Amino acid sequence: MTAGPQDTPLPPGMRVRGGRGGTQARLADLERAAGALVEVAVALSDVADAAVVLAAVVDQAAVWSPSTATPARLGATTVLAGGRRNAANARQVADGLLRAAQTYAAADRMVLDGVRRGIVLGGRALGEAGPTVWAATALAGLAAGLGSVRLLVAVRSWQYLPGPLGLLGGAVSRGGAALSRRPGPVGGLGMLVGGPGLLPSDVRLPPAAAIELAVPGVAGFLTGALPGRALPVRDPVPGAAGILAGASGLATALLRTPPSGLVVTPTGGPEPTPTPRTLADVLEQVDRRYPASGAEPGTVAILRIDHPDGSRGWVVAVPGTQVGSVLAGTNPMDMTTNFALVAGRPADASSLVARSMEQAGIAPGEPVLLAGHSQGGMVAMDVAGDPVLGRRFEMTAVLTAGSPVGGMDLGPSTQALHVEHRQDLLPGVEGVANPATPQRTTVVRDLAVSPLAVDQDAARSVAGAHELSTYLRTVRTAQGGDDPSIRGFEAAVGRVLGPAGSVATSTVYQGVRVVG
Amino acid sequence: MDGTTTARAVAALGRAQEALDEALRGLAAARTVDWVSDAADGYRHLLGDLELAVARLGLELAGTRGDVVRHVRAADLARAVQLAVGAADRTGGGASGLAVTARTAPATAAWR
Repeated sequence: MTAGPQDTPLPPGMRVRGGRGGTQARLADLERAAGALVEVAVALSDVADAAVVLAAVVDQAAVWSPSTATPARLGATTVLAGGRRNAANARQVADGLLRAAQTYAAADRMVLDGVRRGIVLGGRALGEAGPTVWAATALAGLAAGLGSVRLLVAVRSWQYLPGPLGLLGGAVSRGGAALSRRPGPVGGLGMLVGGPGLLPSDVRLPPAAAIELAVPGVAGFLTGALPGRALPVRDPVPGAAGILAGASGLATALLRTPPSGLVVTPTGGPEPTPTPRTLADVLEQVDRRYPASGAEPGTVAILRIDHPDGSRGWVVAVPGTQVGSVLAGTNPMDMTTNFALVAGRPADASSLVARSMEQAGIAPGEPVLLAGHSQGGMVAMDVAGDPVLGRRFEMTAVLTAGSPVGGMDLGPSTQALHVEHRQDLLPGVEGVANPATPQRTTVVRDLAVSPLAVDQDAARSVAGAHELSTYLRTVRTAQGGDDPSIRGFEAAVGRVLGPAGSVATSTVYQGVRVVG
Repeated sequence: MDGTTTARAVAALGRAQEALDEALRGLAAARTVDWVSDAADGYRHLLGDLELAVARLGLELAGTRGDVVRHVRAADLARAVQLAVGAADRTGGGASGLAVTARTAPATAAWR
């Protein structure tokens, strides 16, 4: 399936998957159309059945009026034959549509599933093989890496040689330099071979999608390397994260006093705040929750949006990881929360958000938008996808930026927009691509091909690509366009933010773990 | 054969029309596909053919309605006449039977 000619092109380097305009939505469309055609076939069979009754009545009446019977009989027979023929045609078109939809869906699944399964099994086999094979594999990898560098230096040195090889080297260098501005692997290869010098001046980071594939292999290795035998699992990443969470808990117990609970208190507001009108405005509320922006550590903001008609919407702004230590401390926004979230275990940062929502007085049926950056996005998804909280709150939309949320599920009535950068490897650490369902839209942007120098600088490091300020620029570029999936998400967010004239009031809640 | 032939025929025609309307509604729903590609163009072409065929069926049903109704009404009338003649014969009024036939014959012809 291709984009329609009516679609406005997205900004350079930006790709949108899933959502209302995504492949699965279109496959769902096809299935709906096929269903409608099956109904058409049934209705046309009913026409034929009615014509059978009609023909019988006409035949019975022919005894009394033989001279009028012929045209009536011909008409009933024509309707009967037409109903049956068209019913068969409708069924045939419906079958064709269903087959097309199933073929698209199967092709979509098959390629990635096959590759992923192979990587998981390979990683697991390597883990189970033991230290000797690990060392041999590491040496082989090192040798292959050095061989690649030697080959690269050789190719780049051709441009300095005289004769035909020099001409070829010059052409490769110029061609590579020209290709280096392109997105994707072609641009990466161009950057490697293009330009002067024996080594490239700049190297493009591997895409987050590559990390998404590598992480299950590493997780498979980790689970395979553990003593004892365990049954192979389809997705070893949560299990591996669980191992890390267990190790972190053990280390905390040995080296510190482990936390015994979480206290959530309002620490600021309620106070008026600029009413968010766009997706970028919402992410700016998340930005304000970082200590670097002057916020207290471990805080979330809850914005009450009073609409002119008296109804209310709510925005929950959740920042990302604030403590890099793997030992649990007083701030719940730490690495232990990351391990817990990937492992699918209860996380303190999620409890902080849920309890803040309770304290804020969000009423059932009032639409809620949860927005988060990095870990904050995982927390937002964890809370929005919690079936118990889903019965209590109306989880309308989730906005995540740079968050690994591919393995997290949502309720059927929640719309989500996930914003990622090709150079930001963190959204890939869960090892699962975001589902491209009609309710979940993923925007991926290649910062290296942005016309802005500040984006190109950000593309040179994972940290730069992961920064919320970089995501804010991407969201400003993506919002308000014609893409049907982004527009669909903005429509859901619009129900929360309300029309012009809505007024926002912010309250800040802080979560502190009780130690001892 | 009873006196409700016309009613049975009209009911069958009504059921056929309702089913046809249902089919047309289904076709309209099947057209609302937000899908753009060569394959989708092929699908819309097939759907267009089907819509044309169903529209033609609608015309055939409308044409048949007139022929069928004329036929069953004529049959009902002829049967009514026959019943009246039989009743007159049973009461010994052969002449009255002939009179009934003479009165209804033009009406029967009018349905043809």
